[in-house]
Amino acid sequence: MKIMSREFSKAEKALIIVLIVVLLGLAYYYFVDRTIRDSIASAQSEEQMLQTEIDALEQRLMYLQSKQNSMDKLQEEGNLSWMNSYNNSKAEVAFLNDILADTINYAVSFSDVTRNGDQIRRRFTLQYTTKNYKQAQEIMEKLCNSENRCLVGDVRCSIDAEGKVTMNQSATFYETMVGGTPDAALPKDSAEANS
Amino acid sequence: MALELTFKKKNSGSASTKMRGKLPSKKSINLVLVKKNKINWKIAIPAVILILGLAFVFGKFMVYDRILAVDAANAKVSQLQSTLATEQKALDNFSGVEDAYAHYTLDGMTEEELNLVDRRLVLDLVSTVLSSEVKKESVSWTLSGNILNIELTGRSLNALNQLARTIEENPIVDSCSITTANKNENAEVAGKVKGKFVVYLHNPPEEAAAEKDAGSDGSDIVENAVNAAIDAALGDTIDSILGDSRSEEVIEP
Repeated sequence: MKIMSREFSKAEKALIIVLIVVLLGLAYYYFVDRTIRDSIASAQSEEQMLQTEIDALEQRLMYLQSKQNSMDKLQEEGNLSWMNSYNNSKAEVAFLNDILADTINYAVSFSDVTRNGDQIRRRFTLQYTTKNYKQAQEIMEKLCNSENRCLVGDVRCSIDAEGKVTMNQSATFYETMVGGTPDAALPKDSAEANS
Repeated sequence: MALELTFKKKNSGSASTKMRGKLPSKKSINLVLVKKNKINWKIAIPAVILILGLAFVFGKFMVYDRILAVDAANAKVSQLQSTLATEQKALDNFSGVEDAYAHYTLDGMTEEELNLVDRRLVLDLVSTVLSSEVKKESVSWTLSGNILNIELTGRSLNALNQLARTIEENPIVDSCSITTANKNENAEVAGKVKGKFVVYLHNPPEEAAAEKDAGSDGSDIVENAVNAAIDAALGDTIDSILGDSRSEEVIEP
């Protein structure tokens, strides 16, 4: 090889080759290796993020599926009853008014409202007189099948000579704070007080 | 190394003599000796093959395979994105479940509340009592938790005993017993014996209800025979003891 009227010596040729190799190596590092490493690192980082999201979603799906299964089981057992959101007192009073409208007389007395977590209990006593036992059964049926979850507690019943039935009973309407609107009448949470 | 070719210069005429010293004249030609490199194919071909081989190996392992690794990583990311989209879509199917569950759940109710027998079934049970041979206006009952106390008046202790058995056949009844019985000779026939029942209730177990529906086995036949014998003895004895107008309490242990 002869450039500028002079041949390169062997050492110079070797150095030129080394230089070419180094330049090629640098070019490989900057244009190939670094790009590939960055791409792989980015992909792995995104993969981790996506996997975390997927895990969280799967847990949520399992949680919701278990809730759905619980409700399906309650429905199969015939124990599915709805709890309205707090404060449902007016609807409950209207309901009692409807079912007791045909009684001879009645008396309703609401006592304490209690709260345990999201569970609200509205206790009341009910006294009414019906013309016969069948009517008393119908009222009990309506109470137990109420749209507002109602559990009848203690009951006292007597029948007079004319066949009139007098019922005294305690019962509880259940409400939930989920979707409810707190107001001044909302009692303190006993679950928080005990913790 | 320059070879100089010299040639003699002819003495030409006067013209050449005139030109001498005026213009330079070159009397020699410079030639350069250049070595002609011959290619040694025995070395060149293997060297080229070696270089090409190294380039191929380098390209395969250091470039191509690494690009494949990047593609694989990107493909996995795409797959995960697709899985995420699918699960988010599946989550949409459960919209409203959490809210519905909050309104349907029994989690906030106590064990005692959940174990209370359905009051409608209790009223049905009492209606069977009312449909028996008892003085209806005498019937009064109280229900506290799952314990039902019934007071009524019947024709005889036998009749009350039979009524107790009828009550016990109800799926929600765990046990029924007569706690007190008073006879009043002066009362009308239908209302001679005033009795108090204690009925222990439970939520009907499915297996027990199925067995009762399925019918009786041999042990029931024996039990019925024994009960009939007791009734026969008990009824006669009590009637003979309570033959006068005095009332006497019979308390079953």
